[in-house]
Amino acid sequence: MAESDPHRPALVERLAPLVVVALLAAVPPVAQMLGDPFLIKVATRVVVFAIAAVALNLILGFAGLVSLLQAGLFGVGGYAVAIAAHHVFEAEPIGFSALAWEGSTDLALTLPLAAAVAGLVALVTGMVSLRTSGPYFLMITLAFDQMLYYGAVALQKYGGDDGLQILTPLSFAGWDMSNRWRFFYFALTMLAVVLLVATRLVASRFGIVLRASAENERRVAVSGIPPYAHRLAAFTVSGAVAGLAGGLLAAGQQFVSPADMHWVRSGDFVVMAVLGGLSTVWGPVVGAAAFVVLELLLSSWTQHWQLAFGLIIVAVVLTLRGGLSDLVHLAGRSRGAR
Amino acid sequence: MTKRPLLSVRGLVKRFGGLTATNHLDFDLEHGEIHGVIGPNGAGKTTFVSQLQGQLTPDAGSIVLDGRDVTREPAPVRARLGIARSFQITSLVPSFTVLANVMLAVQGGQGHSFRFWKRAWTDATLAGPAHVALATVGLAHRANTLAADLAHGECRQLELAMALAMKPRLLLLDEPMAGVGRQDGVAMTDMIARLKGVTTIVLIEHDMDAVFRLADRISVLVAGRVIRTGTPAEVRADPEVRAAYLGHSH
Repeated sequence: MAESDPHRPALVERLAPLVVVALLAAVPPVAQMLGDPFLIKVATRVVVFAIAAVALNLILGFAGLVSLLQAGLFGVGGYAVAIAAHHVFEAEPIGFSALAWEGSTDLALTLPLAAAVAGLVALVTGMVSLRTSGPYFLMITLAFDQMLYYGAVALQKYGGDDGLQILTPLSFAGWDMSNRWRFFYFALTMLAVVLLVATRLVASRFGIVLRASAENERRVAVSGIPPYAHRLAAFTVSGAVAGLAGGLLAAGQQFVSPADMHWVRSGDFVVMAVLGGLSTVWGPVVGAAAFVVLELLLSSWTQHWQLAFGLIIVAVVLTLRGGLSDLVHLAGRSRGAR
Repeated sequence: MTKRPLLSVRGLVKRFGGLTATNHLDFDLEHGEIHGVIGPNGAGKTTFVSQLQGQLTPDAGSIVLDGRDVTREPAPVRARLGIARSFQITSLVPSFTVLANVMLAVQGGQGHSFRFWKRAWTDATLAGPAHVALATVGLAHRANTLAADLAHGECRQLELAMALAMKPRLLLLDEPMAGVGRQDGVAMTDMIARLKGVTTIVLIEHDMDAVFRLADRISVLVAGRVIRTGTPAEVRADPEVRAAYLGHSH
């Protein structure tokens, strides 16, 4: 019996991310046909959360580290975009004299800024938190998240508790981004790029080290590879992408608030990743879609929607060890068995 | 003519609370030899090897590898300097294939792994040396099996392949025969014999027949210190060794 290379994903698995992105791309035309523009708003939310969840899964699913800092980094990105726009609106430069910057409403500038700032915060917090593991890592990232959360609450100049509204229209290199369709496809392109990069990343030498460290750290260390440095790099990349997603959220809803940074939101990202499936790069996209849609549907039926939501999570985790993306594997397997 | 030893250990001390596991241990290793380390249970053999490899940091003393003091260097640095180890307790990445496990070791031997884009599984500079190492230990036919599905003897072979894949200058073998059947044990002994001259080996082993057959020199460890170093014949004839150790089992 010839064994196929088990490291090469099956065809169905390689096509899955393309299908997921194509399905999302079909939402605006469908929404138009149904005369329900609200669907575009929902799909935009799915895409933005999906980017953050895919980023989280790099360290959660592949490096085996449960971080509750993702929402904080997400919010840092959101505030970067919102604050840059706020200063344009107020016509009041950031900083003073030679270091003054008038702010910007150009996402071609502020989204990379959001990613850079969030990545920097991830680097610094990661240097400390990655010295620990397991429950201690969880607690330290939780503590950092709450520090960022209360930091945002304390920003009285930028709305404090109430959050910060973006009162100027945003653009991307001259393109008006207040158009719902255009913004949606812009965000979807970002998701596609993130999926591509993440797919290559986890199959690279770097990715091998990350995955091996999750299973057997000592083995990696005696092979001459320091797990810490690789984890820190992954944590930083994940944080930068979360910042990008946060910047997109702020740009899409023209608003950012500390509520987006609360550790419970970090928990939501973990749920999205687990719900969708930790073992694939694209699984968290499915998880994010399921999360946003279920939240909407269930909360329109009952105030106690989280009870129903909890039961659904329990059911999925118990029946599908690999999350919702397991459905594709099962389909692939039953076809292969025939 | 005195050639500088590959490894020179002086006055090594390691304490765990009140227990002195390594007690002012001196040890020299010549280039290219297979050096057996024997001793009764609890003599501190594994503790000693762990300090050579860098998993444990000694409380006192020095470890010099080819003129370089590595006493305080962490395990990944020592691995890059050419110290490889196979564990007494099997240490693999279970969800990886046999080949992927070896590729991980090859990667370690090649230096840094900060390559983010190129697909590693199809990288010939990783897979090539990995296949060679698997062929050396006779595990080539299991390359695409998951490590979790291997039999115990095969795990030991894989451990050895991973250590070899790093092209080590010094190979630490911690009880490679532990728990393997009689037949696999003989095969493993033959395999280690073939490595003579390829690399320098420190061999810790309970199987006396194997150690006395393989080793060029043997050091006897009792209560955390070397009481005698010599050729197998010298060690066998030494009355102190017989009293301390061999007498109990022979």
